[in-house]
Amino acid sequence: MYRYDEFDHTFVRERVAQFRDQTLRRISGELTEDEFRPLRLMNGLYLQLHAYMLRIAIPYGTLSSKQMRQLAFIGDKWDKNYGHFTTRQNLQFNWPKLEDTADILQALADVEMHAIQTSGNCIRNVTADHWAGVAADEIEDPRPWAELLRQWSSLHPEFCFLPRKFKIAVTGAEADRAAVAFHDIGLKIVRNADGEAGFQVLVGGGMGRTPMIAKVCRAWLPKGELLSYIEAVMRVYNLYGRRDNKYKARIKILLHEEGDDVFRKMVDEEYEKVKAAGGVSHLVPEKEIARIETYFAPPIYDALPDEDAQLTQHLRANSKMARWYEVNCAKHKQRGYTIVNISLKPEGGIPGDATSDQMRAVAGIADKFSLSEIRVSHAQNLVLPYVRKKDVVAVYHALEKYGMASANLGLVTDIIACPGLDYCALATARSIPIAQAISKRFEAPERQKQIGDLAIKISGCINACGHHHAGHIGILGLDKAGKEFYQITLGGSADEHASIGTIMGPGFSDAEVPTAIEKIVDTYIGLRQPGETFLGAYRRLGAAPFKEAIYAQAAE
Amino acid sequence: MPLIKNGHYIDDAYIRIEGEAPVPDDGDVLVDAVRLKDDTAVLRPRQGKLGVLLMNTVDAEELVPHLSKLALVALEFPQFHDGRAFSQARVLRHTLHFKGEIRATGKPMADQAGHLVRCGFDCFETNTRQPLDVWQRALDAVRGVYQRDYAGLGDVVRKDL
Repeated sequence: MYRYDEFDHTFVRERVAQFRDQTLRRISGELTEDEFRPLRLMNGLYLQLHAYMLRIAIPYGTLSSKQMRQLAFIGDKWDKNYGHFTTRQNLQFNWPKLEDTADILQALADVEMHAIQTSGNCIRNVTADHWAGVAADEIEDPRPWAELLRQWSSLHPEFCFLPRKFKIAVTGAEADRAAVAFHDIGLKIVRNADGEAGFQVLVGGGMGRTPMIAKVCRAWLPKGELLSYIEAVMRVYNLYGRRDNKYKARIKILLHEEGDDVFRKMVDEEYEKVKAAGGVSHLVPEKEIARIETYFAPPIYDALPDEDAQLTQHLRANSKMARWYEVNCAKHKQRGYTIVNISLKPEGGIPGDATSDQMRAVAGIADKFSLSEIRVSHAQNLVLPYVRKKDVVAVYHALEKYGMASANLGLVTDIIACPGLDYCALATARSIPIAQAISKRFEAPERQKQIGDLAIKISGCINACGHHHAGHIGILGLDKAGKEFYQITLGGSADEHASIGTIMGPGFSDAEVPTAIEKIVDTYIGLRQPGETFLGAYRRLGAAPFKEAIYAQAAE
Repeated sequence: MPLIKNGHYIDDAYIRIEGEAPVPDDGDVLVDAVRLKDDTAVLRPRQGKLGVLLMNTVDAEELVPHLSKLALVALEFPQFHDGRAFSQARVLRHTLHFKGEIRATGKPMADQAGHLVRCGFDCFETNTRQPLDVWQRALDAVRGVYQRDYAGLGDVVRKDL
């Protein structure tokens, strides 16, 4: 993991002191709420329905056990003993007091964490593949570049007052687990014809009320040019992005209105100027990236056989554990190791919530069995990236003790949901109770296994924090004359074959949603070919049979 | 509006010439950038410095033919959170190597002082609620800069300490 040096420490400490000063000036009335809002947002502090919410950055979803313990401590001391992991790989506390926030930020700074740019019209916390560094299908580890982007974007002098928020995601693997095509900038490490690794730069993806898949802006960029190229993209956006309407202010709209080719030309021209002005200094110094890379060097792995005989035996004896292992553990690039995915989606639970006790338990397990490292996935789950297969049984039992052994990764009950109207001031409908009801409906493990891979994603408003556009089944909560209703979309996907879901038709009431989902799932089961996933079946069959299933009764 | 430069209040030496108003024979004047196009009254040789006010919707590069004649470019912040002028200043300093004064006008905020300076501004218009010491505190608040080239230190990111 990256470790702060003196420079990073001082930077974050000074930022905390600055925010403390800004908070005091707000409390004294020196700053108006209008003035304070962008300042607090740039430090992750929102005003929600019932209280402030503090969003803490977990850069590219990587956490140490020490940091996880500190989050648990903060939850106990200044919040209600729990936190909420988000689709941005961040953690939100829902109940902090304004006057405590500077102390919370100080407690974060003590463990090399912060809330810088987790909100506001700036470059947000950079996200990455949560299996980075350990995934079997990885070309190169994207984390050094994600860390470099974190540093480069922190209090960027030019790009902190953009037309709108700006999100960057990075992946170094063939399978896209970071949803890069749904980001303002998506970066994929790819090899060119000569076999050299560089970045494919995608621009203009996003969700919200105008979902768009990002376009390739540069098919292959030498890695050292990354920051200068992004600077050019950002400058074009900062100067020409729309500011007259916040719903049309994201870079995707600029790209769409200018057209791909014109936009690309604008960026290329700007980039040539950046290069000409910067000379060699437009390149990332090799020494600096080498310095960062040393922090992400692979650990010294034990030499182990790929299969662990004892584990195999245990799995034979315990079918529940065997199902969990099959569903939640993923192929590691190192022999004898596995990636353990901890589901934060207990059947009927609140997606992404973890109590302070659970956080401490995960920290303890990581210390014992995963080199003290934890990841947060954009699907609101946790990951233990370095588990030896021979430790899997112990890990499973430890997780089970804290209610974190749900065997549902990627299955129908592994639902992504935003906080919705239970917390959020922007929401038009509740998300959490819908997720809970669907999860309850499908809780039987055999049924989940039979259904297979299925991503249900729920947003409580058009802003799409629950990624409904990218859900195999997407659910969008809206408000019609004071009543919540839910629109269903099918066929979205956030992976390397990204697609935006199609709206099926009129919405459903909250009570009707689980049954509608059930009809969709049953239709799939009835029509699927051997080995065909839900998404595969939908893409083959189209919307018609699913529409018929959910609207047939209404028509009768 | 009070002006701050180099940690002090300064008097505005420039006379603002609104719209098409006549330009006096001497004295420092601040005119709309559009008048650089073909306004001989502005472009004629005269005593006093020439400054222009550039709207934040206009490319800074439009100033290129006249850059050597300009002592001041004033960039506008119609609202403090409209950050286009940051990029304009950066282009003026970094791409076009403009060495004159760059002034932040309109509603820049003291809390943006670090951003302003690093993008190349050296003079700020302020309001009475944000006096000199607030600006100074904001400037000193976070001293470290990851973007070394914005701090005039060369590289695109920081090197070893």
